[in-house]
Amino acid sequence: MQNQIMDFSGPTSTSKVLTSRHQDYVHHIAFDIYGRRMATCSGDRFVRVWDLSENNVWSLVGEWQAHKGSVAMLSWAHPEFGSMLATCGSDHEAKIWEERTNATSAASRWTVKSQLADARKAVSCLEFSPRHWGLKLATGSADGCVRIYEAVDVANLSQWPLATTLQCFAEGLGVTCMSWSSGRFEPPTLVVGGANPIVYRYGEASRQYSPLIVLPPPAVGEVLDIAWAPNVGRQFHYIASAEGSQLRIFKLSRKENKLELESTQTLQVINAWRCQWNVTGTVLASSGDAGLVQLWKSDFEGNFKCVSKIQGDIAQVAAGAAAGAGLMSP
Amino acid sequence: MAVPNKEVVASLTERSTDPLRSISLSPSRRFGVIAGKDNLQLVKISPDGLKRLRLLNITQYLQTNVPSGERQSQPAKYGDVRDTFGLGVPKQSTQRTMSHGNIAVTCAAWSSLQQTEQQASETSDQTPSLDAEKANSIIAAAGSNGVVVVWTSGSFFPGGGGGSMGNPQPEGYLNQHSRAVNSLAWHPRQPGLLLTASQDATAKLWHRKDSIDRKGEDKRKKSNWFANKANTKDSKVYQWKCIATFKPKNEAIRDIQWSNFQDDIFALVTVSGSLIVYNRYIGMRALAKVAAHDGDASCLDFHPTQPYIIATGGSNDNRVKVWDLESNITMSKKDDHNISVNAGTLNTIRSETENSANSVSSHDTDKSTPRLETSNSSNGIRSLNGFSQNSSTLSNTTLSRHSKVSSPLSLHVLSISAAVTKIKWRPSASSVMDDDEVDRHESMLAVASARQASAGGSGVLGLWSCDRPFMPLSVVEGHEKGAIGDFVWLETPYRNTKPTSHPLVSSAEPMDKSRSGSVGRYSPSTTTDGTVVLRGSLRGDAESILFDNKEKDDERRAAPRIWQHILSVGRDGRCLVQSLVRGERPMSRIPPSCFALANLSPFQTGYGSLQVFSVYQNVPKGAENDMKLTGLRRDQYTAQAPGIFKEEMSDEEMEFDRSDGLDFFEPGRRFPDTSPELVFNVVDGGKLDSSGLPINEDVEAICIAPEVLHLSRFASSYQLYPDSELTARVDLCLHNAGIAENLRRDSLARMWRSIASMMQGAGLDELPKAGTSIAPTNVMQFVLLPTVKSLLLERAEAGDVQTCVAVCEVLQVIDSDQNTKIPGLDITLLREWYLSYIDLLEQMCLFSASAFLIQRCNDPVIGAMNQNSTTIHESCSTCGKPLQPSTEPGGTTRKVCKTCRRPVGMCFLCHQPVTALYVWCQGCGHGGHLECALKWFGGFESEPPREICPTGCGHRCNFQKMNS
Repeated sequence: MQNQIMDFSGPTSTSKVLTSRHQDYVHHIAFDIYGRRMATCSGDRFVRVWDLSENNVWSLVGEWQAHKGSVAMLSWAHPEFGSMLATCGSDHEAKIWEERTNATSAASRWTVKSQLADARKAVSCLEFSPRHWGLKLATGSADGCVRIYEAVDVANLSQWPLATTLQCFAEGLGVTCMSWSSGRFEPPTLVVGGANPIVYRYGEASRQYSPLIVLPPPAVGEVLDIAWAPNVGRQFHYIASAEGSQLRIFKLSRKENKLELESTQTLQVINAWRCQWNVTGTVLASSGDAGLVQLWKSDFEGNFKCVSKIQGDIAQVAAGAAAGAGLMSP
Repeated sequence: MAVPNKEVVASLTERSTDPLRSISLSPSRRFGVIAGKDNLQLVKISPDGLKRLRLLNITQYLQTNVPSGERQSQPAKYGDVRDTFGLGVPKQSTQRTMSHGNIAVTCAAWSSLQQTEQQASETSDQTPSLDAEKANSIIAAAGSNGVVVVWTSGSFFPGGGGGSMGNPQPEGYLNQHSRAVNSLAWHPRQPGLLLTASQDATAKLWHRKDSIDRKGEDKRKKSNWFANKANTKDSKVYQWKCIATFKPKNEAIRDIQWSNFQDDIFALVTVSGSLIVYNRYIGMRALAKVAAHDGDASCLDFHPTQPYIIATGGSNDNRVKVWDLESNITMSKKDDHNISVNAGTLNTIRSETENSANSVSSHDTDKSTPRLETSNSSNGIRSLNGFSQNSSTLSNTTLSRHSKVSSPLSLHVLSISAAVTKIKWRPSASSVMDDDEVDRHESMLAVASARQASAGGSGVLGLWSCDRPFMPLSVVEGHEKGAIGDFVWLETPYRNTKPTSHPLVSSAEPMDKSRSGSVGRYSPSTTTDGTVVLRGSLRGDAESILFDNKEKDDERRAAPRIWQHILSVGRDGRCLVQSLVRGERPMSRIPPSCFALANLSPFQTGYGSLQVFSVYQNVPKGAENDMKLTGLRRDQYTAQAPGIFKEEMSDEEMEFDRSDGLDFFEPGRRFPDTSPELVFNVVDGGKLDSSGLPINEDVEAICIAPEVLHLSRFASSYQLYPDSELTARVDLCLHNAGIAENLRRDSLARMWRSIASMMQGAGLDELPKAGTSIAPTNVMQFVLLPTVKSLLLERAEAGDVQTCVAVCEVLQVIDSDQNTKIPGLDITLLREWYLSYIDLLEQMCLFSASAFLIQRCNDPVIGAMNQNSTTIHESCSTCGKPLQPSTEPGGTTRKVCKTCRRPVGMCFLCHQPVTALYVWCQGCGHGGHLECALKWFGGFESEPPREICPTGCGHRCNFQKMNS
């Protein structure tokens, strides 16, 4: 089978299109930590892994049926723990996959290490914790629970005991998204999105996660995606929450290891389905209708402003390319 | 904490403690019979909800092994004692309960006893009365011991023929199966024909026959006379007889069903996954045998409007497959001959079902001559309904079908995420509405699935379209504990302009009409004019093809058919009416756009910039698309529906003009119709000149994250520590300012310069030690520390940890006692900067820069990072034992393994001691000089590349190389 390849010449080249080869809608895309690999998961139950080869070509290196139902999300583990992926899907399971370097085909390259089948409904989101808290994986499910698994022995990836179950929302209201904080000298903290965002923090004394801040619910609907900004030594945390017609940014102060909601900024957008921060937590990206990815950045007064838009709609990209325009639309 | 399920619109208040297995509706669809573990429940279905009319323990009927003659007298004998029905009446005899304990009711089925033609004439003007239903329908229940008991339904109704609490008199016992009966199927048009499928690998066809003159039946006849007044108005006594036995394979049959169009055709699925189709007159040879599923095929369902389409569900492979068996089902001439021969021997049956039998034969003869036309017209229908695959080859196969029937391929495969327990096509919802609207997605399946095939997990019921093979359109999960045993579709009644006494009945009326237009009217004259319209019909007991007939059309207009409620019974003992309209739409969870964002890796041109993979997909969402996708409606019709069937419009749906965009979703259009495309973009950055410096005039460069953009360049060119050229820290600052200037970061350059000037002004080359409270000797010394502190914090706010760390290192802010020299700046904050910066460096693959920083950092906590997980244990490559430290005084290197006394560290190729780089294979432990290894494995110096270890241990060391 001929791998789909895509070539690009440099950072300022216009958009390139890569056929996902998925037979259903793509639910999530994730880069690995180095930005050299990319994985997509889709409703067609498949996960595909793409590698950037040295001649700047993205080529398909792994594709396999990961779940019995649609795959909702995937997360890369820190490479310190090996080449590892976690996926979750509508078959109520989350799975840990590890890459075999001696595999002969794209289908056999990834082997399942563990199947986490505690959820009573579809698992909607998952994320590996930052590495300084060890090898932990949090999953959020439509049954309203966030479950935190921890690999006790990093060398044995088949053992993932369930460490905590947090009933964040009522049974009928699912967890839609979650994100770990990256606070380095803080206890493990994560924010869970659903009907409203809730910040949970591990208490060393109580030895359990407990709700720390219950953030106000969105104006309409529920939280679609939430992202805790990487903290690189700032005095505050940012949490971005994509809620359809609005994008909220919560600023939490962390004076003396106490988290407090300092301010909330609501950005009106046409649509916000997904949001993500860059590595330093200074740029927020959100994707909306027509595949538009907007980049937001705080100005001097601390207000987030849209600084750039990336057109993701292929038709419009093609139109732009035909007109000789660059990759950015004004 | 659980939120009540909004999709459950009604439930039976009496919750059974035992799992419910099966449900079947009466011909009028106003009543249902539910098979529990040891009982049958009679349930009334109305817009007010579900009401249990009667609970009847029936194990007494099933529990018998005596020959049929004696058995028939049993109920009369024990009838009064075993009167265990009625609400909440406990079982009376423990002894009997024990003897009954092993027998469970597996299946129940309700059917009409009326001739189809007769019924049509009866019901042309009026709704079928309750009395008619009581008298003219029949219920069969099967047990796990293989016994099937048949009652006329009149005896079941309280106050009916059997008396209010009377014991219903079974009409017959069908006792030829040796093991449990898994499925029952009444013929949809010919009354009194029952198929039973059993665990004992056989399927049997039973026929209800008048029995007037039998010996020893007088007494029974008499009791029957009195007991079943209602249904024995013609004073006939019926006898049941097995008229055919089919043994398709030596394995259990899971489900069986009659075709909705061909009177003689039925299909069954077996436990090993075979789908087998029979003509009932040809018991020797199956029309089709298809290996449909891996492992257990649990259920099947004939398509309600398309004659040759069958869906099968697998409980092992979690799939639903849709098959087109036209070439198998349409018969060859040989088969026609067989039928005529066989039919002669079965004359008695034929005479009884004369009307329908005639229609069958005429149908057969019609079919045999103008075969091409019929197949063509069916092709048209198929493409109309989205089953257009294969159609071009069909006429060929129909012509040559008497020779060899090709193995059919599945038209569609649906991937259900759990074991499939039951499937039912949605009865056709397509009908001409008042506004000429046609519901386009009619080929949909309701699929019940269970997480584990046995028990546990919630029973999920999903509405699946063949165009969405991986995801249901709507999901209801009312059965929280336990799989769904069985379910039936319920039609939504509504109040139309025609006043009717009972909405349910009024909606059932066209169904009865449709029977009149049954297969017998399938004549070439109507097929050739090309106006064949397939119309809705009811699943299970009446299926039909209606033609473009003016009168019918008018009646149709008055009765749009809406099917969106499901009556289900589950292992949790509950009986629920669930509304698929209120079910969850998994589609709404799909993001129309998603993306991933990362820095370009150092291996890509222009690293430091952001790369974005985004995908845009036109996911149909929202109220306006929902109806088109699912066929589930919430409109003026459903808003008029009574009681539990009412579905009010939401505001959003009120706004939506349904005439818009109907063309967008064609039937049979699979979406997404193309594979989603990932769009790759690079933001930020800007071109660099030949010396790697940014070009100022680059218009495309948009500096989104300046702190990351040139991180790698700063990391490699910043000088943080004094060396022979730059001895003073002031010089370091000036040097770094120059670097920042080169990379067009003027603000950074200014910052470095101001630090340098402050240091110069203060006359210091380093910051004063922490805790030293020497009074500042000049102004600069006074301002230096607070200024540096505010500079650092300002950079940290901007996410620029690189500058923070660079300034801290140049100024040696952290001393070796883990204190900061700047008051008010916490050491943990500094460590956060360092650790974040090290993380960033590693993330950008700048490992040497991070290692260098860790090595030079004053902070022992940071410095210790290089010593984490750095212990190396050696073992002897010969014997595999760990190498012990040398015990000889002063000896640090070991020449000889203490265990096996062999020299350590010899090259595996040249057998010389290795003094420089030593490489070894992780697999076998042998190694040697890098050059030797390259020579051996790499194929240098005209040596061919090898895989096997040179020591001769046989290990294929060069495995990786071989694969790449």
